[in-house]
Amino acid sequence: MINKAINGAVALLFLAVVALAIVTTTWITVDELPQNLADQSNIEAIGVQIFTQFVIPFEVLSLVLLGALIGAVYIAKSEVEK
Amino acid sequence: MIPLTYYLILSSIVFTIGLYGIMSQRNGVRLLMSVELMLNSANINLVAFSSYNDDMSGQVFTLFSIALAAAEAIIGFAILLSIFRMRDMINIDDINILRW
Amino acid sequence: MAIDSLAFLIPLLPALAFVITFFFGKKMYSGGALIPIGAIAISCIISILITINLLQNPEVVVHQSYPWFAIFNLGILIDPLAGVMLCMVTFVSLLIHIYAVGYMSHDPAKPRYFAETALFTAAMLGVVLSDNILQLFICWELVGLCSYLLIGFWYQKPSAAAAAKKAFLTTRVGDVMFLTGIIILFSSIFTIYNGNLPEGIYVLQFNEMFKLIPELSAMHTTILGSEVSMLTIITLLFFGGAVGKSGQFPLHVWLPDAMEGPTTVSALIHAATMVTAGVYLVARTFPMFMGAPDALIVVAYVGGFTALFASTMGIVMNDIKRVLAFSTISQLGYMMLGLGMGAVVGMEAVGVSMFHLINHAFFKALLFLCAGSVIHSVGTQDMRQMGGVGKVMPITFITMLVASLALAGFGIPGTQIGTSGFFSKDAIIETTYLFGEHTGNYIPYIFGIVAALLTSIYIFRLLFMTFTGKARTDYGGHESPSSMTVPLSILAVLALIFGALTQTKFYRFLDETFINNFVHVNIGDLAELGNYHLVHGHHGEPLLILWMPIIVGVAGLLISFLIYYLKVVDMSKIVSRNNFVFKLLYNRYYQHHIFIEVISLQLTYGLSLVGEFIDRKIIDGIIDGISDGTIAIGEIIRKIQTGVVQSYATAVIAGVGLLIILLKLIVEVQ
Repeated sequence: MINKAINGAVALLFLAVVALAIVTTTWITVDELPQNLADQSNIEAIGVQIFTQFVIPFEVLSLVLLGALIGAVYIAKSEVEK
Repeated sequence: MIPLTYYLILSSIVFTIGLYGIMSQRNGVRLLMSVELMLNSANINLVAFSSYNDDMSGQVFTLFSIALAAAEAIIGFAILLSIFRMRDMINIDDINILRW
Repeated sequence: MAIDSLAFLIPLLPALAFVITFFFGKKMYSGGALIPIGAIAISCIISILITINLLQNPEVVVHQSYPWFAIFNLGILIDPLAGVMLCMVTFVSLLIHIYAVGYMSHDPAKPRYFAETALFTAAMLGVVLSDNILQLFICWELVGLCSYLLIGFWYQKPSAAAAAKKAFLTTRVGDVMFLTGIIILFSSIFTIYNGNLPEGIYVLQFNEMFKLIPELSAMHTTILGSEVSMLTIITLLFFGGAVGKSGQFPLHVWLPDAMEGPTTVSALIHAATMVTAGVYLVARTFPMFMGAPDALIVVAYVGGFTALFASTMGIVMNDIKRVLAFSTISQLGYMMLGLGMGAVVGMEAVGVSMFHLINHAFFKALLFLCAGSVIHSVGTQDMRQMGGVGKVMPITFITMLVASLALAGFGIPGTQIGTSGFFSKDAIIETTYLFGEHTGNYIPYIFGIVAALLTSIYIFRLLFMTFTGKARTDYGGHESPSSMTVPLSILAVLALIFGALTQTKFYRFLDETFINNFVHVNIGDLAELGNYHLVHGHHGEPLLILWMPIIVGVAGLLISFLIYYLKVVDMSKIVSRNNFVFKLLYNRYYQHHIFIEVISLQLTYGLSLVGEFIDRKIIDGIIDGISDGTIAIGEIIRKIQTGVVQSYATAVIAGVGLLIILLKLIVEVQ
């Protein structure tokens, strides 16, 4: 129980610090959010970016996922009795 | 317009919840969930900054990050699974054969 | 190339032989014995050549000096005193090494033996060659170490290990005194120069030391309310070192026990060479003793008393080597006595004493080697189990007889006929008579003459018990191999004729020691410092005095002959376990018991307890406390390191949080 209390206190401390930092910092933002009332979605823009500017990271990511998949299968598979 | 600060506060609260989970939980699955929470709080930040700076690449990165989180979760769960097979439990306090 | 430039080889060659024999001796002939023999033979030749040079031009001493560090130097000094010692040491050592090839032939540890004796020879030569007192001390310690190693050569025997330890510790008492003397000497010199030691000279060189004798003599300090000259303190401390090394009373206890080593070692180290290092030290620093009023008298009395004291114990010992050991102590006492007579005869005392030293080296080495030959053949050291050995070992018997005659000092006064011991020992006794005549104090003379009688008794007792009569046990002896008998014969010839050939020359030669260009001292002035009145031209003692030593010698022979050969008196009745005198003598005046039980057990044990308390409780307590505290704190802190990553994460986060707050505070303050 004491552990959890300590953990909670630490977490709250952390939250307080971070929140304080967030509140006291002046964030540089654009003055007005761009509004496209006709199409509220930004999926198209994201899709375009992925397959143009970030295509190489995307492909690498696919490899990473594949590797993770294979690794996970290898680790998690039950040992086959021979 | 909702100020950026609100998103950041939300993100930090989510992160703190994840943090608390990491610190207090002893169950492997819950730990992984906490890690996901923390990761996602970062994603919230990414999206928020992306929107408020009118720069799409932040949201693209969020997608990558989610994919990587998936990969990390895969590995984590696979390890937990194999530990469970061997020891019939996933309480990380008892997984201490590498300790000392 | 002058032979002088090879002087450095004299100690170096045996030292090299030590290294080679020690590491590579196993695969060589007879444990690598030939290497030390060759090295010492070359050293011997160089020594003899240099000494012959010196004989022709006594004023040209060999003196080479190299800076070592600060105001100390390493140097070689061969003046007449060192020259004769060099020849004696190398020659005796050479013969004993040759003898050891035969004697040690059955021992598996031959390389170690030959390496250690080679190292010993090198160290002893270092002592003799030193031109400064510090180097002498270093070699002196090295000699002590070799003695320890060689006494404990058969370290498997507990008695040998104990004897080695005893020898080492007992001589250590003397060595500490010697070192203290050097330190006091150095600090006094420092005071004399007011802390400004002159450039370019080495103050611990003998000639520099001797130049400062008047100043040292003028320095006084107060001990127990009486004023004592600094010079007296220094010389007495030097003499303390000599007492330890030369087995004088009361530090003689180690020498009889040292006979646990191989007989060759006893002959080389504990009869001929090492034990004479003490005598050599006193002779070397003799000008200082001349300047010290009381030190010489102490030397004389200690020497005289030792001569008498040791010879009484020699009479009752049954171990052949122990008899010889006590004989050695007694003879060393004679040498010290002779040096002490310098109060009256001046530098001639050195000549007389050194002459006895050289002769003693020859006949005592011979005695030991004969004893070794007997032991080698019979297989026991107990004289009660011998008897009749003369029949099976004729060469050994004859050489032993010669040595015994030399030890007892047989000869005809007024002629040049006599054994070497006759010339040297009788010279000392005559000198003591002169001392008595001059000062009215005949105690040294009585010491000398009684000891001479006892000497004659114990040596002929040994001779009769061992070589004559019937064999008391079935030992089946045989004559020793020629590598043993040849050195015996050479030594026997020397013991027989050396004295007669060289006596007068020898004195004149040694008188040059302190009157040449290296060590220049004015003996008369020094004697006045010490309030002595030297006597010159002292010939014409009463005839009885001249004949007295030989009379007591013959008397001793007759007593021994009657008791041990003809068995007129049955000694076994007198010598019973209950006879008080016998018990006293046989137990060596209980000195061993006194040392062990009173000094060791009570005094030293008490001191040790205090030391133990300080060491264990206080020092160890502090150290242990520190380590225990560290361990305890570690145990506590260790709990924090649970190994659970989550706890670490908690700590990290808390730390980061606090750090940020802290930073924030600091930044805001600024």
